[in-house]
Amino acid sequence: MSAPAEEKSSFVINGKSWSGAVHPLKRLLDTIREDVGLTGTKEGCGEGECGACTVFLDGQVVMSCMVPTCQAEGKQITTIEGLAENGRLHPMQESFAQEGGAQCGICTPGMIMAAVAYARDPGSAEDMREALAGNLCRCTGYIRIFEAVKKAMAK
Amino acid sequence: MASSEYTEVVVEGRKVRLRAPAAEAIPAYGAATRVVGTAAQRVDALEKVTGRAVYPSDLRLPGMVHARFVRSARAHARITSMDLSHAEKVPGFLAAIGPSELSEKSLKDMLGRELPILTEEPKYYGEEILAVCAETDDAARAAAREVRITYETLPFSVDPEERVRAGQFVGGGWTPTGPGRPAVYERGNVQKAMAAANRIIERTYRTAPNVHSSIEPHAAVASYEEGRWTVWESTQGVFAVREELAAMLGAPLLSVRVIGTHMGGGFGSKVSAGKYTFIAAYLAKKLGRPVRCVQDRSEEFVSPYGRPPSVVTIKAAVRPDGKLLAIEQKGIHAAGPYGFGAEWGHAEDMAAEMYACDNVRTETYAALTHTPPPCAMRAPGHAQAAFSLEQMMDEIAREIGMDPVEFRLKNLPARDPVSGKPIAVPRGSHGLAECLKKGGELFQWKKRRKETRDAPPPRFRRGVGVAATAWSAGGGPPASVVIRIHADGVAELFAGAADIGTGTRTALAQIASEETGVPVDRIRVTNADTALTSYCLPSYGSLTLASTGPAVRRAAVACRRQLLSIASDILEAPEKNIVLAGGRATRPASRKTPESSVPIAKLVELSASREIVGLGEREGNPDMSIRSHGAQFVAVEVDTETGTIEVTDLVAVNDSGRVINPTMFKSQQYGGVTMGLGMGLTEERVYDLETGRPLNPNLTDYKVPTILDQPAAFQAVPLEVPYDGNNLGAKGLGEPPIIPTAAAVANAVYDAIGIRLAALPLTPKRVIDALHPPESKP
Ligand code: FES
Ligand code: FES
Repeated sequence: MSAPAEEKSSFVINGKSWSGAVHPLKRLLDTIREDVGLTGTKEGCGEGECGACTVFLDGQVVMSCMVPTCQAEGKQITTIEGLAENGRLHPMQESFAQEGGAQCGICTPGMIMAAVAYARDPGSAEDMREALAGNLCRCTGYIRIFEAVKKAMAK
Repeated sequence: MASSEYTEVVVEGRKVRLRAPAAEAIPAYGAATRVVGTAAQRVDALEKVTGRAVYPSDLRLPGMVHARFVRSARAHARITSMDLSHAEKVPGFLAAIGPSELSEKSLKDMLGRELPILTEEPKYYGEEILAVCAETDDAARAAAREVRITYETLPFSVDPEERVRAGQFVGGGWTPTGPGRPAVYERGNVQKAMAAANRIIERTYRTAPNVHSSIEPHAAVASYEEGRWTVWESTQGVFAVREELAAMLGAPLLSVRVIGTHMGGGFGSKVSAGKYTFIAAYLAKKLGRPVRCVQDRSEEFVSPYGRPPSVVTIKAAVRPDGKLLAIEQKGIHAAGPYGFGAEWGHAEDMAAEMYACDNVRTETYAALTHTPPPCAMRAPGHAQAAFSLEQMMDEIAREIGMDPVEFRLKNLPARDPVSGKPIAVPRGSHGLAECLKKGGELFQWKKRRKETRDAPPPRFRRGVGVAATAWSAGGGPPASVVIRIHADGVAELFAGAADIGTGTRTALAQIASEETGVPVDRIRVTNADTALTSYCLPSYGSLTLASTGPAVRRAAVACRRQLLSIASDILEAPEKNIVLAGGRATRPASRKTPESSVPIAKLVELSASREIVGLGEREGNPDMSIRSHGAQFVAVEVDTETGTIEVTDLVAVNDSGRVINPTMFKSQQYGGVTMGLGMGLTEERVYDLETGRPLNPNLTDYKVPTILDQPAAFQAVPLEVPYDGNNLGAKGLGEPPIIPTAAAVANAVYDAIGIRLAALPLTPKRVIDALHPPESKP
């Protein structure tokens, strides 16, 4: 087996340029966690099933475990660490904290990212459920999460 | 409360009764509490919503390398050859460990049964054979894939009933019976009672294998420096992991430090050290570099975790007036090939304990199947048992024309039928009776029951059902806690307990705040670190709050006394007139003097020790059967064409004594019930009978509930039935909510379609097959 060929990769993450040498097929999730060093984005399955790894890629919701790093080339990535602005929490983060939307908290970053994406173009309560249906949580039974999103939307 | 709990131990062959240490009584809370009972925001909420909370699977240490397992591709086999030559060529490959190197190493269950860490004769699909280690996780995976193994396939069976027929079982209870003998419990004379009874009902129920599916997989990172290990583990119990790991490593306890501050869910699967823990620690020493060993999602489905499937045949006799006369139950559950963890499938306790019944006999067979060894999963045994027992209660009630709620009320025990101890029943009310009554009211049980009974049969059939639960949840020693209040008024609380997502850290801070007056947001909780906190049991069995909480209160009261003594001198008022709250000691205004107050920080600064320290230990429990109770009422709509069951309404009422934080209490109810809905409707680890392989080792095909699966109306109701068995008045809640859910749904389905579904999960196919039995299909 030949050594995996690393290539130079560059993108903007949470408003800051980043470049480094990574294998082009390395999962974006791993690049974010290992190379960029931001571990707020979690791995729950690595197979696109749980949503714990949800980030924005050029504003679109993606599961970063399913995206090869080369696909992020030159693009804008937002992770949970990039939601707060000027030291102020995003209303969705605030609301999750206040409403008890996080229990063990491992699904929380991904859940908040999905909720923030939904909030940009909201619909009915049913649409809200649809938007979060790809994010699994084993602790909360989703009730406090649902309430947290509703409350953030009302702000 | 006097400590009257005894533990019987054997010392050099002699039985000794150990008393819990005597402790000064701490008065119960007064009528009003300021912090306890409020919906305080979680103390770690900000860390969690910002992604700053670091979980063991997040940890990246300098020089860290990665370990992965090579797992068996057969359900039972002897390994004839292992070729590592390709794996060793993978760039970044560092080391491989095989079974011969670790032949002496094993995990042990509660009864001392062993599970090898690595094996040359795998006995279930996915059993760990080798561990490989490489510079990167990708390289470790690649190396694991490149190991070539040849097998001589051996006969296997994943079917527990088949194994029992073949005599391959052990007793499945809490005392080992040895091979080929079931665990038996008996009281009264079941045979005689059955012979005399004229109404006997018998039915066989099946529950499916479930998998915990915590969103953070099992994970450990270990480093070894100067003869000491530091292990960051996603665990429910740092002290349990330390003890087990030190024993396996043959090292002194103090050479192992285990840290488990944040962890991403456990539900019973992270109570002990895992194979991954040992491998990380072992390799860390061997390689002199930190080692990370984290499981993939697919591995979570083949490693030694999960709720074992059960087959329970239950037979009951009842008098026409609704008195239960006899219960006989035979339970079989899968216990994996080693019998390791067999006790976690024991579904017989609930049948023996739940209701007053003079004649009970249970037999438990733990089948030695070629499936992963089971472990505790939220309400182990009880969640399975409730499916049969609570449907049986429903069936009997209908048979004798009694309301199922009334039938249960009629058979509530005043004493624990097994231990004979009184059940903590305050002021003549029974927690379960209260839950059933309250839930019935909120759900409008009587009215809705009548509505559904009278409804004509259209395509969508509606039904309602109820089921109940009891769970021993008194907590108890050991738990000791230290609180230090510093000269800036910030308090540190040190407790060994893990916060597994239930909110332990926050609840403990609230309890400390109540006594000391230090606001919750000025209390830093350091928990689950064997080097910094004192010993406590793992967070399992719904015991965390009721164990550690009273110790926190005791420590906080010790601090309070010191603060009051100084405050009394400064404010020139008797201690009893001083209020500690909001970070200040305040003497309220009286007729003669205006209010005056002093910051707690000042009191600490002026104290002789320049720091206020309080130590609290958990006192013993009263000699009683301490139970948390719960009842669930559900309404379903069954589509008779597609077989889908929709749970439209659900009311869950739980009594666990005092509620420390209502938001967190309800979250436990919501989360537990939801897991119960998964167990009831969708979750099943499916095995291929031809190969013994799990067919759905992923979260797409193993269906845990999503936000779309929630009942449209879902009410979680805390019911605070007063309890005074510990200084908080609180009991545990983690497990009770999952127990009755599947049975309540099944009872509602019966109400809707008149057919008793006897196997979980209640899939559309099972509904259709029940409505149109396959043989009668055209
Ligand atoms: S980790 Fe990416 S979807 Fe689960
Ligand atoms: S909070 Fe634990 S998985 Fe969602």
